[in-house]
Amino acid sequence: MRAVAGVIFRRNFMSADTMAFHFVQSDEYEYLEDDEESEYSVLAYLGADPDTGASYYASAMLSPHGADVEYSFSVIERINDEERLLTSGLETQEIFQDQADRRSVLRVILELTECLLAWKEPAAVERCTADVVTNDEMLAKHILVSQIFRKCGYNVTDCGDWNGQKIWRAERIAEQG
Amino acid sequence: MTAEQKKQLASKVAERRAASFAKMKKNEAFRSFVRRHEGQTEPPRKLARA
Repeated sequence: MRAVAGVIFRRNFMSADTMAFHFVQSDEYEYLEDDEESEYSVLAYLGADPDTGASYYASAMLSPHGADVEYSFSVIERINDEERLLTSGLETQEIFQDQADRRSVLRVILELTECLLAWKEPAAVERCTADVVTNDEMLAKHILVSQIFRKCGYNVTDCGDWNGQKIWRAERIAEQG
Repeated sequence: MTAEQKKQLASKVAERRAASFAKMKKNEAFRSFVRRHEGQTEPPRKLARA
């Protein structure tokens, strides 16, 4: 298990009458490994909503899918010692209503993705959207994830969709210096 | 990727992620991390130099 000590912190301040979520980004990421299950993830804290008592975290994960490896990212909500996994952008847009917050959360997810790929260096990775993608706005974050895969030395293939859920396959083609 | 492979990947995505999350929640490092940060709305203050 590895953890990186936080050094840089940023916060977006919002007026209390418009938003309750407070974004607090740190670069303290937690690397979670389960060798028995071949599941690996990198976790970050996103912030909290003092009104509801909810805390939010982001995760990028690699998990087995048959003989392949699947990548996914998600937001985790924790209230009163209970955690809930949010994989749908339709759910998270209700929580992160401020556009600056959504950009900040996406930036964290992209950083976690880069950390995860640099850490595990999987040879091939499949991924698909949790939601049916109906417009370019929904697709935008997945295009940015593809760019991170390319930055990390992967060739990314758009495999089309299954009933509206978009699918990609990434194959590692280069050593990163 | 064949249509069958795409179906295998996409059709059970919610169940797979829920199963992975259930395992993650049992990880002591996860539990420690979420408790450590819970409720923070301010960046931690840096220690002043002596």
